[in-house]
Amino acid sequence: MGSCGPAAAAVGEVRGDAMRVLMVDDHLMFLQGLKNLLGAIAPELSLDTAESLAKATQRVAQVPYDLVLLDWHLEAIDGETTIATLREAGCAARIVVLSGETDPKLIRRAIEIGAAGFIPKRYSSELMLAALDLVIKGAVFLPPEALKDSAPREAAAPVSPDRLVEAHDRLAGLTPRQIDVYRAAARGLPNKLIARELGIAESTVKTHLTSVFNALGVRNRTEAAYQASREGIRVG
Amino acid sequence: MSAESHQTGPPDGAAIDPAFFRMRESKSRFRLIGAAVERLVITHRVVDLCAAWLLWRLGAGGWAVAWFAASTTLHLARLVHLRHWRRRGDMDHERADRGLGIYCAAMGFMWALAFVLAFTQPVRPEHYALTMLCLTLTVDAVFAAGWQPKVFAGWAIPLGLVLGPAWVWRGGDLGFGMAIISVGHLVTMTGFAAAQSQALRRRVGLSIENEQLTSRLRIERDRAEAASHARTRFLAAGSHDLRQPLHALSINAATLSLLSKRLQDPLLSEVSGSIGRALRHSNGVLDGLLDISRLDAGVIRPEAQNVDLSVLLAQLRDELAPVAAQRGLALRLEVPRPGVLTAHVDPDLLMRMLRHLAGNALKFTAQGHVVIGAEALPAAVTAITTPPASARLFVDDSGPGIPLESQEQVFEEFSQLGNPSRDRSQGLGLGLAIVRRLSGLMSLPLTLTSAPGQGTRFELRIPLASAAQQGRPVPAEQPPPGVAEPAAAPAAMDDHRLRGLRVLAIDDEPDIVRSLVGLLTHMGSDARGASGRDEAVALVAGGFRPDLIIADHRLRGHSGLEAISAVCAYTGPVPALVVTGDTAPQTILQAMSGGYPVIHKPVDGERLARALASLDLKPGSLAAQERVAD
Repeated sequence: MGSCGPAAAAVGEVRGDAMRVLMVDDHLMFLQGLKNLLGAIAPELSLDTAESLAKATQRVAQVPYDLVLLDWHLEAIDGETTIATLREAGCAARIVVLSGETDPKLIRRAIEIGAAGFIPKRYSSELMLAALDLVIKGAVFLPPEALKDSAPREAAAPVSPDRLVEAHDRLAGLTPRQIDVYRAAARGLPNKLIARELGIAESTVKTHLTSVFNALGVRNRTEAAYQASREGIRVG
Repeated sequence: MSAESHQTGPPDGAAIDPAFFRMRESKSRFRLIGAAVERLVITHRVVDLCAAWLLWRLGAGGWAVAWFAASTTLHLARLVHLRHWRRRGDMDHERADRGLGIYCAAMGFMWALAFVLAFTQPVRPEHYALTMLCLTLTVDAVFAAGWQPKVFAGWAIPLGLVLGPAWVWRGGDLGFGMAIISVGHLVTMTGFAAAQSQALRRRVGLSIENEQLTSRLRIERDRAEAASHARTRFLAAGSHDLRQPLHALSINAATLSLLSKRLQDPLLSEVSGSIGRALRHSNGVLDGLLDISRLDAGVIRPEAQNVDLSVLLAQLRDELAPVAAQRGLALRLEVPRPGVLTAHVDPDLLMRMLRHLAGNALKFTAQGHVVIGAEALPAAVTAITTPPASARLFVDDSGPGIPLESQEQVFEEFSQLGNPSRDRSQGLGLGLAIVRRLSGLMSLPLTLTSAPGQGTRFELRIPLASAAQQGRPVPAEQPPPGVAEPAAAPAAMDDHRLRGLRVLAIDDEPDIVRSLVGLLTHMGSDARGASGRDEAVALVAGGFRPDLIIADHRLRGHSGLEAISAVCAYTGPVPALVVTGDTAPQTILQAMSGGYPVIHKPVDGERLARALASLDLKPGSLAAQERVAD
């Protein structure tokens, strides 16, 4: 676990500019289609594409992306490897997985290893538009069928974009630093990257996370991500 | 009486190699003869002793003693002979048969000799007694030697040749009768022996045929399985490749739909709408096919956990409520309050089954209601124990019903009742085929009760969690216990489990070994690297005793499992992890075949921590233990 891209430290500075999105998919037809669609939804986005993990790794090392839309299977490499590789390269962006598979176990796994959302590729136009819209607005999108919980009624449909909650509203009473840590964790960053991004010690990150998780009533970052998705908390 | 009765071969004689048949026949015969001879050994000694005594009374003197000694020796020799051949797997049946024939003939000659000795004297009651003993022995001989007429003849012919003439010569009128009785008896018994040997052959023939049939069936079954695997692979590959362009098409359809909304062009909206419908349909087909091919390939494994059935069904109801409302159907939920029915089952797979069942019910019911529910089975139905051991889940509808003769057919792929034109807007007919496979995979018995006009009920029997399992119901979104403990993951780098442990890392890529050893050292262990089996064994031979082995599955020229077992052969069992970079299910299954936890590349602290959680790790030395303690 070594090299860090120069990108990580610079993330803060480019905020406010156009959102930088990297789309990674080994299927060019899909990649082109996705680019067209995102361009149509939000023309202000700055869009890049990569059709292999090597290309993507290279790109995230050079550009501080805000959002990575990642195909779960790249050639023969699975998403676990891809996400780990991108994080190694210093990618601090929200990584949202797109996949043809919709197995809830796979979705759970993706969130566990640091994805901040999951969009099934087979979604119909309306759902795909809604999901991408939410993701662009900074929410954690998860397919409703993956959001299993004792209160399923709320999860039956994706949260509508205008009902998104700001993290600091949901976390009233916590310090701004704790909220920063929460957002970074809900975006799927490992502690080390959070520490680097916020310029604090890893142990401090852990302390903050403990208080945040307590305040939210969740046990870990996976639960936090599911909760963010359910409640429409903006994390990006 | 011909000893050669080969005309009664086995029923399907042409298919059986005669040498093989003879071998099997003589094996069975030896088994039968051995059993009979051992059972009769005492009787025979008593009969022979009586005979010797009778000879003595007839004045044979030393001859009687010598006769008894000789007959006893013969008997013992035959016992030894039988035991010897029965014990040997590579029995030379011709030699063994010949041996049996010689013993039988020798005993026949012994008894013939006894009569020659006896009839040197005029006829006395002893002669009658001796003849009676001999004829009794002949009956025994049918069981002890009669499985082959040739062998039995060795006994019967010398006796007949002596007994008949001797009685005629010495016995007058009565002797003539005795001669006829004796010879007649011997002939009859030879006939029995022949019939018995034929029965044996038939039995051997049947058992060989049976074996051939079984092996033919096995070959047929293997061939059918291979064909089914090939079809599964074909389906999986085909549906995967088809899926890619469909996804591209979907994403473009989404753009089109967005543009059509912005431009407010009705034609564009209609076109985009119908592209969307066509896509949904194609995706549905592919999903179904892929599900079936995966289920057939056996790559889906249920992971049971405790699931509150009331909560699960409420979720299903919420998912389907919009569909029901759209179709104007009442969708009712009949479950006990949460917490009453906790089942031990894979929630995702169960939900998939229920989605298909309830989805079908909604699709085919024109008016009325669909009810989904769960109830505990009354104790009397499951067992006599008081707490219910199982529950039933049911999906009822007030639809058209399924006639009895079609109730099997609905579970077949692409079968749709009342839809001969195959109007695909009604779905594909894959749902119940998937349900049936899932029911088999999870061992949840599924029953269908329906009649035309009476609606349909699908019922699923499901085991409830035992009292021990019930302790801690797992919320549905938690991963199954034992697979991963998410709470532990963030703290992975401080994992104390590796402190003080000696770890052997095997990978044929020098860079990977180096970074893995680095990571392990960082986590507090004493780690050594090896490029493969030989280097690993060399390390162990040099005195390094690992507490944990981490091996790449694919090493140069051999597998990680082989490397692990080579090390374990040296040190005794050592906990191990297998690392693989492959994603092909075949390879992953192979890596899992060693029974060690498998982790995917790249190995990092979190994955390692997760995998280590399932291992029982103990440092080998006291010093190490102290370090762990601090």
